[in-house]
Amino acid sequence: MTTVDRNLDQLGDHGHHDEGSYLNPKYGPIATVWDWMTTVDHKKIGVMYLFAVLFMFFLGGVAALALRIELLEPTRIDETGNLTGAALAFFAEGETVSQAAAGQAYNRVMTMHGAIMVFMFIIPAIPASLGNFFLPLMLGAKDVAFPRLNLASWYVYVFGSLFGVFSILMGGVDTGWTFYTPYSTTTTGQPQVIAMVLAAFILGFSSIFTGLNFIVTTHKLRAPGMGWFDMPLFIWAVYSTSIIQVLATPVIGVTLLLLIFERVLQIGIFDPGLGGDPVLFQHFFWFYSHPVVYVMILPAMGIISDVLAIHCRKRIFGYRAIAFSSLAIAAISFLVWGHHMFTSQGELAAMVFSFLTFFVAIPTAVKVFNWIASLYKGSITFTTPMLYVFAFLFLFSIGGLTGLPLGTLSTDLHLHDSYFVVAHFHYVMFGGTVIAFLAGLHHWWPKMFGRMYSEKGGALGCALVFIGFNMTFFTQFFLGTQGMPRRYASYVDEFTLLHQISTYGSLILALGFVVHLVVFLHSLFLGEKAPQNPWGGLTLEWETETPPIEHNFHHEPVLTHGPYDFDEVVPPGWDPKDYPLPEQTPGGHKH
Amino acid sequence: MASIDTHQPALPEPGNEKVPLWQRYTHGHHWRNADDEFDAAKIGIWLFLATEVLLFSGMFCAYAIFRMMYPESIAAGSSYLDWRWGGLNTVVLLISSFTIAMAIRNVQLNQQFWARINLLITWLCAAAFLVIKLVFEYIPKWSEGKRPGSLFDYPFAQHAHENVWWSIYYVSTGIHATHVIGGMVLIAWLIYRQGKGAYGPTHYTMMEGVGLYWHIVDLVWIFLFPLLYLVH
Amino acid sequence: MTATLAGINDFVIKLFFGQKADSLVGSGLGGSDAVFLFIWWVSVFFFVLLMGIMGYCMVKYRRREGVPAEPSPSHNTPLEIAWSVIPSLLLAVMFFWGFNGYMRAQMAPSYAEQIDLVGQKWAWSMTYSTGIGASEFTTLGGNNNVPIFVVPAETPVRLRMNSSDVIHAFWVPDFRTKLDVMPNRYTPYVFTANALDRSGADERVMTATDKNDNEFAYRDHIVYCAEYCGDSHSEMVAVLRVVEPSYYQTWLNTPPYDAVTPPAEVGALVWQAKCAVCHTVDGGVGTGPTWKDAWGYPREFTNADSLTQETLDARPDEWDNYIRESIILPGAKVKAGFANAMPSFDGQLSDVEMRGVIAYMRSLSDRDPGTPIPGYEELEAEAAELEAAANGGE
Repeated sequence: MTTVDRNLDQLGDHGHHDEGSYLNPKYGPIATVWDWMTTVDHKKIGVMYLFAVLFMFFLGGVAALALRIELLEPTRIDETGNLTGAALAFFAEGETVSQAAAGQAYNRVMTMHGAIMVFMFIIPAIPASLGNFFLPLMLGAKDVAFPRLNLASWYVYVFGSLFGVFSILMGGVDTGWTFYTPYSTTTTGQPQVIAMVLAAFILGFSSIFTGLNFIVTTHKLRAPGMGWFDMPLFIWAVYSTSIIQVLATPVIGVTLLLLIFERVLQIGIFDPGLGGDPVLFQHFFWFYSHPVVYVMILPAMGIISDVLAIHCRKRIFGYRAIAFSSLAIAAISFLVWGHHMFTSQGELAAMVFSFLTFFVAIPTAVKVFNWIASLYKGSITFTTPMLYVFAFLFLFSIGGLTGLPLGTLSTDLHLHDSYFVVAHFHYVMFGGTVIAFLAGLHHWWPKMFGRMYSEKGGALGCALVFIGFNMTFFTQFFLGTQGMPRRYASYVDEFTLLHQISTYGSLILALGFVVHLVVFLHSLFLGEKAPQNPWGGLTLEWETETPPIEHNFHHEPVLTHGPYDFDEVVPPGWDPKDYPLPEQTPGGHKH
Repeated sequence: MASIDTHQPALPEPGNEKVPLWQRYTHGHHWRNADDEFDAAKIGIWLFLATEVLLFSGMFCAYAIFRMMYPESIAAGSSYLDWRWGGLNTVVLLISSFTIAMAIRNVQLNQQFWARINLLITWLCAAAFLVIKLVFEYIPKWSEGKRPGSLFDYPFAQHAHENVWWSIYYVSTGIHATHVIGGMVLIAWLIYRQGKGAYGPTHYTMMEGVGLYWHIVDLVWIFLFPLLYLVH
Repeated sequence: MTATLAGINDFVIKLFFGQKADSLVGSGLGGSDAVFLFIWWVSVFFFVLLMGIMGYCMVKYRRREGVPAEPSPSHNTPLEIAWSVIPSLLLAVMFFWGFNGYMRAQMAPSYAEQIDLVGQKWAWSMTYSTGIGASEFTTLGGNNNVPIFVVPAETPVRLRMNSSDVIHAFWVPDFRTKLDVMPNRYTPYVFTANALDRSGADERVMTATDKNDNEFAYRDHIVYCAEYCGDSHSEMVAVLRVVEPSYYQTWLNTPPYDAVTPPAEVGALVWQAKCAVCHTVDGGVGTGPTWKDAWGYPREFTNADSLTQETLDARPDEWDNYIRESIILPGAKVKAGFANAMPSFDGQLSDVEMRGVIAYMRSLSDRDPGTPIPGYEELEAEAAELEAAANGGE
């Protein structure tokens, strides 16, 4: 890395010069805690969200490891009548457990993993933590449009998550995170199921609040001089995400309400025994849950666009194509829900949804092509965020390409509900979203907490995560095509080897996260003080101090250059000596 | 570009309590001016209303699907409803929509007394709606056994799936009634704040927002009424 | 060249699908496997291309101190149009090819062999046109009572499927297709299995001899439930046994039991097919109560008056009634310590099978009614005495 100007306070000579970092405690310990709990500062709320979602990620991750360990060997009852290979048997009540009881324990942990990861981690992960922190900063605003609503969203999130944790403490839910009827309306464990459905319902409000806030903020609080096409691509992605959150979440809201009524009063809307239609639930559910897939991945794509540009010191290739493809994905995402149901609906619907599904593939492919093209003639560093960008491009490409046989009707009939699907969506959700989240977290960590992290530690963690992830999930493609159905607590003996590789991979993956945790903790307490602009970014968050002052900027920033004009502008906090600009070409044009 | 005042607005000077609250209102510190803040609030409200429309559209979808699946049962169920009660409630809600719009107009013109009267009428209309719904519709029907799903216990049912009709009826009108109750709470808050002098010609964001919300509650009923009561 | 490509294609198919080539008639490489291969090659091409460019850039354009980045265009319209349009065309091919295969998989000729299939928590059961079900069972994974469903090769077969509780899905990985099994309607699973190759070239084709000494060839395919359905979801498996059409007719006309089969044996068959996944017969733990030493014993219920010894002494048929009621209305009496998890089997058992189940449960209990009721011995002795007296008096 080039040397960096360590001047911390370039802009601090007027304006809010008396203000310190937003992290500085202003009062005693108790009052400081109270100050954080009642803050309307988007940065503090972003940090609070960050810790909350990371905690949920930990819970969901523990569940995932438990599942993988259970699957290390198939569950069997041996000649003496004892259960073997059931790592989760201790969850089941009683001393001698049956295969069914081991299956039930597995199902509950499987549901816990899915519900936590989907509703409590991956939906809020990027928008609510990094988005909350950086959307106003990147727009040059002092806060989001509705700061109190923002705080409310965090509390609603915590309240909803408590319902989820409560249902787990009460014994757990075994419906799967998809709550398919009539299974979910008839399975045992009435209070837990209602608590978990309520949790998802409440979390929906948190999601709506955040989305609504971001849309209005983007419309009304852009810095002077910032037109729509001067916004960083992360903002475009979060904006598109917010539209989906606001428009799709109410539908899951009414669906979950109906499910609760169904469960409590047997109103019969989804119950075939009373004249209802269980497939209607699937339609309602996926009308929300498919667009939500893009709530998960779009912000990740935004992070990749920004991180890649800055760490390659390169104008992003095809800015408008990437921006519009975000909007296109948001729009098309509402029309493809039926591709989750090729095996449960009629031919006409299957044809239409398969056709539309291929439409959503095109803007996604365009984005990947643009990112790869952006590397061309760049000045590429190998910092941890950039390593994660490479990992993202590798893994997300696999995730995207393996979506093709799932969107194709005749091959999907085989692959639907198999491990192939599991591997595919983990390549997209983990290989895409979580990897991009880690890229963004490392990229913005110095700005958020004012400390650098260890590059060596970060790179080690990245390598472990990459290797572990591929071991865990690449094997699952083969399991799926060879006939392993998903959500199975046990399996026939021929799948043992692939399952074992997968389980050992998941342990390496977990080790990678432990390394990251250590690196981050080390950075928080012992890390080198971070400069204002360690990577040479041109977006507005790099113009303020590190960490940002309480009101973000000493003066309202005025935009004078585009977010990716690396060929023309020396970034704030850098010396022109350390930042050689290329010679201007006559053909070079701004977007 | 103009630099903005980034400090919290000064608290009102002691002794100027005579000045109404709405005149003392200063916009949030992260806004450039009150107009931006008002516009933002309006965009926010409209987005929220979009979520409300989508919430009810789920119910409308369910209605449409079951109407296709069991047309006779839905028609039979509809015939149990008395359009006169539904029509009366429609009129009540339309009046309340008119009065809340008038209240906002009054506030813009600083006619605080008439604003208060109009808000009170709005609140009373909302209460009347609920009373009519409960006393003349829910309670008699429920006691006759016209109940949703497995609770259905009406001995004179003519079609196999009338229970599904009642499920749709109770859930959709129930969610709507919940919105009416929410609206009543908000209007009561408006009455309280208006009494304190919080709203006036230069600041009436909250009234505008609740007004828009109330119109949507009205609008949803305008769709529910013909679907449930009139279409046989 | 063509041979090499075919060899590579075979390798890819083996890599992904194991040794199991698509076993449907008229498909094989013409069916979904061909589409899969097409997608595979398109994916490999793009993945290698993208990663190649990425790797090249990582080396060529790595940052060097003091060296500025080269200026480069911010966009290139012809290039961008090309990389939007060319993939779109490839995607269109995938769509039409896949849709075509999907439609072919849905169609069955009117003369197709129709078999009824019921999915319930957690077992599959088939009913053939003769009214009988599976008569043989095997062990697969953790399930020792996996039914073997015999189906004819080279004949279109149409399974009319429905569920008696929640949604299941019928998946035969070797056939590359699955379909949901719904509680509120029938769904058709259509297939035509390939002919059995007796030459030995196909290692999956075996021969065996049945109990009537008929020698027959068969090929087994595993069946999974692919839609999550609860505790024993992963034990909801079955075996589809493809036999030659001529033997299929023979098999169909050899019912597993007839009028002279002892009821307990009929009951044992029903137990294996429908009950074994939840109820053990050796006293082991299960989702439901074990049948070992159950009949004739008093029992506590969570939601009804208990079956006391007094009741049983007074009305010995009460246990039979309880069994019958539980099969038809499982929730009426739920044994203490168990959840109400059993689906109703109303209409699924014939009278012979119902009596068989009761007889089987009686045979599993040490209070088997075959042992005399209390006081019976005295009565019998008395009767013998009377008889002897009558004889003596002659």
